[in-house]
Amino acid sequence: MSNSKNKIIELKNVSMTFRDSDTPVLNNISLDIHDNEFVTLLGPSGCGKTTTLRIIGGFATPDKGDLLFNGKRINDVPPYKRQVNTVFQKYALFPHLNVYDNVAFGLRISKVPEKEIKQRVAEMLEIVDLEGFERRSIDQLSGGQQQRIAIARALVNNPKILLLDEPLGALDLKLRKEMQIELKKIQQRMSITFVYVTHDQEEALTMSDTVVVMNKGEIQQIGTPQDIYNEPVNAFVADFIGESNILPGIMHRDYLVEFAGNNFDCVDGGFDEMEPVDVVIRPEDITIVPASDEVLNGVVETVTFKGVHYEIVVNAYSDYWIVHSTKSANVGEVVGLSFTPEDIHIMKKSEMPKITRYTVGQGEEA
Amino acid sequence: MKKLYRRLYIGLVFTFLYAPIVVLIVNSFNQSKSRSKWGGFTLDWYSKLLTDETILSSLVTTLIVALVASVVATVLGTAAAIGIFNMKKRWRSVILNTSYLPIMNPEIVTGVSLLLLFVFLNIELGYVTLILSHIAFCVPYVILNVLPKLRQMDKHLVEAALDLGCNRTQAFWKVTVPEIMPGIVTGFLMSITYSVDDFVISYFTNGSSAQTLSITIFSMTRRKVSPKINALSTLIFVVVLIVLIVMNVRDVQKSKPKRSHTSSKKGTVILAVVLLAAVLVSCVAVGFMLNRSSENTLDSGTYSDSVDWDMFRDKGITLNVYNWGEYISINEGEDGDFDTVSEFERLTGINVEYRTFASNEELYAKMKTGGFNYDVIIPSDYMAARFIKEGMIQRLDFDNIPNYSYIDQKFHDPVYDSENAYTVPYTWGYVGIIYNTTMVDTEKYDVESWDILWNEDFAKNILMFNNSRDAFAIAQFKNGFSVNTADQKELEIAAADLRTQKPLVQSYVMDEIFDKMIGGEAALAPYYAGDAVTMMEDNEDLDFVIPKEGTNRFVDVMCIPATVTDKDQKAAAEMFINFMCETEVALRNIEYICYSTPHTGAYELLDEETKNDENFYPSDEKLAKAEAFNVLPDSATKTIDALWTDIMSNTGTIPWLTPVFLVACVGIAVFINVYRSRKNKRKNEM
Repeated sequence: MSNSKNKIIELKNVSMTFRDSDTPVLNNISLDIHDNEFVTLLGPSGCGKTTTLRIIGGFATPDKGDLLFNGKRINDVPPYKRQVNTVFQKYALFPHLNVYDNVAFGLRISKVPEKEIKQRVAEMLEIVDLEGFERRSIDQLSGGQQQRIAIARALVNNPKILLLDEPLGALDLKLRKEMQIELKKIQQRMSITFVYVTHDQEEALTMSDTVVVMNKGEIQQIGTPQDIYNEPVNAFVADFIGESNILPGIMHRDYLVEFAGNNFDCVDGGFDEMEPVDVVIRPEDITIVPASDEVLNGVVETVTFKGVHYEIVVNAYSDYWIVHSTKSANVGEVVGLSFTPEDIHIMKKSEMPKITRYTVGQGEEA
Repeated sequence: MKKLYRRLYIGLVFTFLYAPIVVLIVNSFNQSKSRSKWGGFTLDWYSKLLTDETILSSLVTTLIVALVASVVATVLGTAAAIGIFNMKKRWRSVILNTSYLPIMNPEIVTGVSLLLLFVFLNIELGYVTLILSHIAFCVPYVILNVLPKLRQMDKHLVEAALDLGCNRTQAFWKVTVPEIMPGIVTGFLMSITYSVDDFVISYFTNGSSAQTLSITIFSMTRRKVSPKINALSTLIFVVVLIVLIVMNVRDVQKSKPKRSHTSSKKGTVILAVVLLAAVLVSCVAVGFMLNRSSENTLDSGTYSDSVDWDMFRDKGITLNVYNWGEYISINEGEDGDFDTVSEFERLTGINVEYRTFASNEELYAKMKTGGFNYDVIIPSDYMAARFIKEGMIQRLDFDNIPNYSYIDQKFHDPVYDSENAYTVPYTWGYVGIIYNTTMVDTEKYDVESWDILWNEDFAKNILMFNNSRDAFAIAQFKNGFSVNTADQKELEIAAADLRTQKPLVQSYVMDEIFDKMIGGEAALAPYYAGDAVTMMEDNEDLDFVIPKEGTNRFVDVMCIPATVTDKDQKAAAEMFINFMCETEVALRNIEYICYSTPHTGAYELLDEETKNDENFYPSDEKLAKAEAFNVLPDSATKTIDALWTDIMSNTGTIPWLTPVFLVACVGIAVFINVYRSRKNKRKNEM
């Protein structure tokens, strides 16, 4: 956590609605971003994460609320006067310029002497590992190389903050993994603030100091990757961060919850008596055991090999449970589902309707 | 085998595409004026082209108009495209469709409506209107080319520029413009192409002071198109070819992945070199021309002193003279060549804007619509009669034209100007029969009668006029009618004759007669005397006779439009007419034009051979029955046109076809639009 550091960007009660729409794209958002922090805005498409980024970049103006940079309100400062640079989703490199001219673009605009430009571009190309590519034209570069050039073009201007809008979305899986590590390294080496937008929870968890989970224009949870994963504040976060079994339950009293037709001990408390809650259990926290009266029993519906583990869908108490297990099971077999009280996460019912339910056909359903 | 067929097929396609150009290029080096006879290799046409001021000045006009119009259209069109692109959806499609409308619109409609607009707004036709109208039809092409580039452009590019420190203006110039540059360049090139190419719209909007190349060439078609045009077309073709090659080489080099940076530079260098070369050549040409035109002037003593030629010197008077193409002596770079217009300018200090037209009807149309301010026009007799009848030309002050006394007595008090008050004859000629002596046995057939054009022995070897008045005249003479008759019955008899003749006629021609007769492809044809002599020079087997039933004698006359109201301006125009009647000037012109002169002084100075040439100056008795065209009553003109159309059309017209066709077109357009908008809707709903 880097809460002790300086706040470099503050969003205060920011709301925004697009011109031709009724529903707000951002609804009363407040967020602090600190020096040298790697912040990821995570959420499904349409959650407002890109809009938040564009507000910071200066490409969108909030209807309500304030945007502060080092404590100063910058709502009306145009993009070219902000010490912020952006890496765009599809890189937005200038196709009419070669690699060198692309990277040098910002420096030339700010009238840096040509000699210094040369030096800084060379340094930057070294950082992104593309020395010797100066004369290449953009369409001669691979996706990963273009990505690096986009980063170099932004970073060469020594911004205080680098905004990245799903920068790895167009890359294949392997390259994406490499670039994740690369980006993290660059961020640490340059020691500047990165604000990163993605819908890929794994990416968010891998790279970030702080993850901001957003949905429907609202912030659901802010925390370290560990916090977000282990202590999701509601069913949406739980579901969005990794796969989850989310079941309706009733809190009988502290540390006793009823769901799936049984009472279970749990470690959560502080709810009203008989309060309806969401019960979240991670698929990897469930163990398949022989059917018995001690555990919840169900019928195996499907088994899918996923590489590291099997994804087994079990129909128990007319709900579909997803279990990740290193051992396979037979379809049609009656099995027991075992989990400990620590594996049961109790959450207040979300105000919003449930986002995800797993069905036998596997996959998601709105 | 298959391969062979394929090659054959490709060969045929290319032959079809390029054979005309090859013929054109070959002919530009052909010494003979005929297109069907090789007279040896020559570069004469090129050197004559480079000294022809009318062609060169219209070329310059064309280029200036094309450049100015294209630059303005490119700026306007690009700005419009950016504006349209950033509009809200509904407005965007409205504006877009509106701006495409001029492209869909037939050019002639655009041309006429622009003319009406300019006349309505009282803008004098000339450079300004020409450029305005070119801009008007070029802008949509620029929009059409720029808009897709804007759509293709990643919309984040501008944001990226802003992000990297550009303000809006910088982002526009540093990112948007370079990104859409290919579209802008294509739009610009298309504008230039369409502008240079345009004839129809320019024809209506050029006025008296600006004549483009296409109009100049068109105005030459009354008489044979000069081989100079072949030379010019060849030059244009070569320039286009070079530009295309340069661009293609550039493209190829660009598409090679490596060294793209240097090669595009190389392409630019080549382009620059080519342009430079073109500029140099034209400079040399202009220099050559200027050098030449300073020679060959006449001694001042040559001119009569009955008028004060210096009267209007330094008064800033400009005369607009409107004449047929190739109908005045110009300097073609040979010794003794006489440039009428520049000689007049030198002598009097009056500036002359010399323009050309192609037909009496064109002249009439331009006079009638207004907006054209000509000071001297040279229509044919019957058109002059019409102008007199409609009050469109004015009485001349013959005190200012003392040289009128040289005009042969027999041209006084003509039928078309019975008061002898409005016109001064410039040239004259008549229609006779030109025939090939190897194909027509004069012992056996009577060539001196129009009947021979109806003789079945010459089926498919007869050529006929491809214009109603001249064709009817022949049938009328054949039947002993007057050519100026309005009698319905007589007209129908003439028409019936022409219909009987039709199966015997090889083709109905005007200009093509030169090639056909010189090439020996036809035996007999009625045509104008002066042109007949030109043909006879190229083919010794040809001969020319005046049919005994009588024939049409035509006179082209100089007049001053009624719109010339300024006293000095009119006097200056009369000075020009008087100058044209100077013996030496009339001589030079008639030698150049190769028609007959009504000028007694010039006639006397002609060489003996021409003077005694029965074809140029037949005896009075031979032309005793000759008749001049007079203006016909509207009813007669309409009857003739209807009968002629009926004769020329094989099947007879189907009156409902045109409206049905138009309705079908509109229907298809509506259908396509509805279909497209539905498709778009469906797309958007998805």
